[in-house]
Amino acid sequence: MGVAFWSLVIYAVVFIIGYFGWALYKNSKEE
Amino acid sequence: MFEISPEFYYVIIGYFAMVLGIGWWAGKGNKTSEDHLVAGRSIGALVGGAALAATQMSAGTFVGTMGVHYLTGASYILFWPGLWAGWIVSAIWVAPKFQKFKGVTVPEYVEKRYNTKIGRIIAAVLIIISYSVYLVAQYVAGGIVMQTIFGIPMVWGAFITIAITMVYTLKGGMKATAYSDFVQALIMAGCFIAAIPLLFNQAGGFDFVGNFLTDLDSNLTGWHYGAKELIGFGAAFGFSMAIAPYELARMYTLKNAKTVRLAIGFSFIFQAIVAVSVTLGGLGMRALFPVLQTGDSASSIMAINVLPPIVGALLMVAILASIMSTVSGVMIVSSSGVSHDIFGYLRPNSTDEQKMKVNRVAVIILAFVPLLFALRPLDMVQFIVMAQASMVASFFFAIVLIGLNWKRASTAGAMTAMIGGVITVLVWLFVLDKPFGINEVLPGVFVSTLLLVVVSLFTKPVPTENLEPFFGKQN
Repeated sequence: MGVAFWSLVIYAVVFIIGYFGWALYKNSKEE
Repeated sequence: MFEISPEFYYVIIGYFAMVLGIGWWAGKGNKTSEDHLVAGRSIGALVGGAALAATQMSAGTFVGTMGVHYLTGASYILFWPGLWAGWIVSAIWVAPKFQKFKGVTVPEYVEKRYNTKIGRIIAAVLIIISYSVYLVAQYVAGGIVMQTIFGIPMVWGAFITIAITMVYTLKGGMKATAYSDFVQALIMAGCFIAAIPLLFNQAGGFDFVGNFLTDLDSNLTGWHYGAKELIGFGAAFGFSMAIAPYELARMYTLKNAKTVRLAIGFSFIFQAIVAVSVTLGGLGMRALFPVLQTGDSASSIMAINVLPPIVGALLMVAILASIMSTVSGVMIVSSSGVSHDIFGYLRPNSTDEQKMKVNRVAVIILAFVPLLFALRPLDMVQFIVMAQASMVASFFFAIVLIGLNWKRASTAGAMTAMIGGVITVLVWLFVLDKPFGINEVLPGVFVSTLLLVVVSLFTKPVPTENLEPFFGKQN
């Protein structure tokens, strides 16, 4: 279960970093 | 009945004092509707993101979702990617555009985009009815938490929860709601970060819990829910979240479109902590107490019986916080529907001051009417509780998402889409009795999207002045 837990945490962290990457890119393109 | 430590009283009374203090502080600068209902469009990304997450989490998340994990195991966590897909749709195509429009209420969007006053009234009425009934479930949950801790009758527990939420909402408006949501989100995330390791320490560690649950029932660590069911849950939550009026109203409070994008990112951080924690909470509690009477009691038994008093008390506060943040958000959205959409239509020359007076009266009435239903559940209430989230999603999804991105979406298209979506949900649920076990939101959203596109193509477009707030200057 430890493996499942850490995979979930890594998935969430990668998702959130990816999202912030997109948001910052999109914000830099605006105005 | 479990023994309650005195720490619970101190922590919960301290929490109540704090949210009332935030209400008093936030209310000091509130003068106009714009201050009161959209916090003067002054909220930043971190506070705004926490508020988005706190509004989304309700009694259902802490009590219901943890209860589902307790009963069915880990697989239910896979509805979250669907819900997050809804947030991504919002971040790309909905929320930043909605913020730029700078409205005050969500039904106001319907009037401005589709050039229809009647559409705005219908939207306001749907929001007021379905959200008022949604509050019934929150009140019952708040009442049970207060009953568990203070031993008072459920109805008094609900009354105190409502009264405190109403006072800080009335006094401080959306600013108080946003800042108290921020504190509430910190409490929710912080208490879980402390609580889950303590729970697993008591339960014997990750691997022990995993092996124990697999032996108890292999579906608990495997696939209790299959792909079809999980996609259904995820789609239902995702469609609702992409256009939820109580979240859209929050977009107006943020400074600008850039803040909106970052705020959604911060809300993911809070959501991820809570998603993982309620899953682990449910699994850990199943290992410690394999035969609780209901899954819904897992979170309160964890707070009172498993965790050290201070952490347990904070978990109970987090549950109360999730209820109160949802209630205050819903109160503002529903009351602005009465004062700005309906009263504003009936008395077009009314002043801002008059609308604010109506708004305050509406908060008080809309706060307490659902309590009467919570005391005596009527068939009609049950009927709407079941259908409300799907009706709201089917009503708003197409007209918001497509309306913000497709100039051709017309008034007639929007009217048929709104009404067709709601009727589809009702027929699917109560006439056809949910064929193939498919969640009603899917046919509801499908029919309203189809109607919006097809009817718009055959009817005349809206005047250019209605398009300009959303698409910029038109040639």
